[in-house]
Amino acid sequence: MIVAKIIDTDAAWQAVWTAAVAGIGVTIVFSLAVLGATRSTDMRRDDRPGQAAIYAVLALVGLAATLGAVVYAITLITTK
Amino acid sequence: MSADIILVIVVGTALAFDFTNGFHDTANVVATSISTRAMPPRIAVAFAAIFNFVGAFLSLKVAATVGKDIVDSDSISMTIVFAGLIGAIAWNLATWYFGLPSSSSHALIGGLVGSAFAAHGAHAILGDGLLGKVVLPAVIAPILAFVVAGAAIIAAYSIVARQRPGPVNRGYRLGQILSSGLLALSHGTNDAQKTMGIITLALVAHGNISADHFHVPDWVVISSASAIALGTYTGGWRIIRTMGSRIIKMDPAQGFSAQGAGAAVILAASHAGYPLSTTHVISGAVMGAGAAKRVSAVRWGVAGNIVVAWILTIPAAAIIGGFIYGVTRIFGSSSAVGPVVVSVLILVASAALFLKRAQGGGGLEAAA
Repeated sequence: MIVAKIIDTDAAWQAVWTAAVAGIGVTIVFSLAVLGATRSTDMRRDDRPGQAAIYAVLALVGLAATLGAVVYAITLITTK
Repeated sequence: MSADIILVIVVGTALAFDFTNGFHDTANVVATSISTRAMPPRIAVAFAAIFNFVGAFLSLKVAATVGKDIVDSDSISMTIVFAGLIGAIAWNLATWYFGLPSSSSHALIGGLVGSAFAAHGAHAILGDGLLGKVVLPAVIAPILAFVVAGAAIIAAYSIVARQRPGPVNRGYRLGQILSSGLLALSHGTNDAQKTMGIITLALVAHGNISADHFHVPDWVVISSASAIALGTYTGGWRIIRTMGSRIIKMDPAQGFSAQGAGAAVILAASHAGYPLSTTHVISGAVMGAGAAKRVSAVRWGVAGNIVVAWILTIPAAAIIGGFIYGVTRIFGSSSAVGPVVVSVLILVASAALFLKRAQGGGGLEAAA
């Protein structure tokens, strides 16, 4: 009760969950990009172009999601 | 005339503090990138300086908190702001000299609270703002960064498990260019704003700005951004060593997770207007990324030294701020002589510390 009086709990909670989702989410999508790039190289080397292409798409999507999340975060801060 | 001289001294001191803040906190931003060899040190520092500068323009919510919500702006004089700044600078110099990554932000807030308390007593301190916007976030933020970085590295390891380490490490090193840029941006956003808040508070005390229409002038934003960026570029190599390798040896995935978690926590807090300590946050994230892999990988002795510095920062800076206010009062409450004398003394003391540091004295090697 006392804590709720001195701190804006809504703003604090929003900051906590936003930080958690962004911090963990960006690491996950970038890790998927790393996985995709690594596996794509391995598949190409093993002469499996189909799977190499699928992993390459995963790498690109992961990278795009990472960059998108960063741009979204900065936009949110500058516009609100 | 005397008030104008004090204002010039306060603005100059605030920008000097901003410079030391960037100088002191360079480690927060670049240590993990250097530790994992994602970037060469000089490039990492230059990169951080550029993003620090840009970050300072993103938001002004933290500046408003520092200017309005911690001390009663109506009872603040320029001498109080000056004494608070000197308290923060003195504490920053001391922790820099001993290689301890304490919080510049909490030093600033501690110094301001101490000098305001010395001048007007407890009623000049906005207890709710201090507790709700500084103390509680100070406790929550490093724990949050620890948990987020820990969860992030566990997720990362499970995704790239059984992959060849060479390409994986190269991938995360590339990612660290992004994550360290984001961390530098978040650092500029949160830390440069504290100086903006302090200068604006001095402008309110001088009568240039009304306390009821608190706003940060453009020249304050640009000069604060420049000072922190210059300080960051100049760098704090001694603290970089503490942050980058003495807390934990990191792999690039851990570096990416720690920087990503740190940036996320600082940016979210800046958006809410909390003047966080970037040092606390990134230290928490580095420890979280290390402990999630192996608890014993974190050098808890060094981490303990850092925690002690955290606990001491606000009270120590407050005591120095209060003491400096008392010294300036000896020369008269509205006289410029006090701030001039104290400025000269702090410059001499700083030069002596830098000289001794350059000769290889001081440090906490034995304690670590």
